[in-house]
Amino acid sequence: MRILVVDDDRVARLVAGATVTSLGHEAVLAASGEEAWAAYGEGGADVVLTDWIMPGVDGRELCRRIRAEPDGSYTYIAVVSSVSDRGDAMAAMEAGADDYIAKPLDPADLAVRLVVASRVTVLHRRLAHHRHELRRLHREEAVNARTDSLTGLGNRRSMDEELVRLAARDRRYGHHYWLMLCDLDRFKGYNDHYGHPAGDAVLAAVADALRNGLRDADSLFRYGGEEFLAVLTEASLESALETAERLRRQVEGLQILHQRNAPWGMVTMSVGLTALAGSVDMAVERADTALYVAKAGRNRVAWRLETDLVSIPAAADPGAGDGEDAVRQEATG
Amino acid sequence: MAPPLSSDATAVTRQPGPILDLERLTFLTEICAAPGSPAAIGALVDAFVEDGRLRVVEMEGSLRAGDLGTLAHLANELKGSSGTIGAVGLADAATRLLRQARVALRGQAVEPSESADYDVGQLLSLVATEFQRAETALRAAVPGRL
Repeated sequence: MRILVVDDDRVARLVAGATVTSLGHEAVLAASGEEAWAAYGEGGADVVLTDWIMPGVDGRELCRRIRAEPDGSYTYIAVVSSVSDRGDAMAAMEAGADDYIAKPLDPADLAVRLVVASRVTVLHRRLAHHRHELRRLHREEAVNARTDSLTGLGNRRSMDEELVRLAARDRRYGHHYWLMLCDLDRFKGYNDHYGHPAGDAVLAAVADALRNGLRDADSLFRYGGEEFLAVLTEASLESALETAERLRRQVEGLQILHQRNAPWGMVTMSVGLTALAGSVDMAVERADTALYVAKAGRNRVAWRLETDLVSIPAAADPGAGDGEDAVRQEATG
Repeated sequence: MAPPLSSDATAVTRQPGPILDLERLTFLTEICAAPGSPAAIGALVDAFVEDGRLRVVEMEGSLRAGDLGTLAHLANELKGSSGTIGAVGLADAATRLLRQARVALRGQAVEPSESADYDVGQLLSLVATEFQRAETALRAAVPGRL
């Protein structure tokens, strides 16, 4: 073990150092509390064998500083003192010491105490390792519980938490957010025709395309099945619509063959857009209504505010119509 | 009323007993010879003599200045270092001096159980004498040094 021997008495320091060395340990000698603290900061120590009464940084202060270290490792502290006052022994324990040894040092006694120190140190290190691992797993689990494993996006739980948080920011600070509910057109048909593994690959590819098409400040979640929900930050209606349209085109641009999605023959996406205003549930419901309208024509964007409902058909859309037409069309999934 | 700080030093007698704990000195010689030891036994004795001599001089100065607190602190240090190196006669004298200095510090009369003891000045003289004896004995026991 690396043992830091601290004593302002030169003879006591040298004898303690020689004793420690003769027992097969590495001894680092310090003539004061200040010197010890500097040595501890440089190389740490498994055990600190310190005098209790020293000018400046004394044994009590050294104990306090070492115990205040946040690094999670454990240093065994044995206070060595010629003062045979039990009150000092208790004060040393209360300051964070693990042991109190009377001077002059008895080497046989010290050897035994260092065995104890070694065991205690090892146990503390194991404990610190387990604690660290537990925290890491806890963090990992917290992330996993909020992540969709297929796409790597935030899942529904994560989305719910984020929307509540953003809605509160909207109310309190007047920030403006837009919800963009995206749904792949006739995706059940895709799965039926190409199989679920292929369908999963499409979901992952679309998730990547959407993620790449958003700003860092925006967020994207897998809402469920073939639905995604994007939250656009601080955007006007115009720029939110531009983003929605751009993302729709990006999915179309993937040119993933989808024979059951006539007339396009490739994977397309419909988008329902609304502002995150009022309650989260109401906002999601509005986005869903707008999506319903978009789904009536498919491969298009529709938006809805409190009362307005507008559907924007895709360019060169063979089924394109105005908003009212879109509302009347039957949504078939 | 505080006890006198100094009186006739010639009245001091040392208590019977060995000057050095030779068993401890042998042990110290062995551990100082171990690989990686921070000091050889000769260097250890040098350190003890240098520091001890300085402490005795400082204690004499403290006594002259009436600074019993510093004197007690130095006596405690000397007690520790002499005990560590095995200078048991000196450690005993330093212990008596420390005890008496503390009594004097409290302004108390010497307790009946300590009535056979001497005052601070006498005990400091005893410490100085014991220091000389310890130094001589250590030099004899650790040849080739000093």
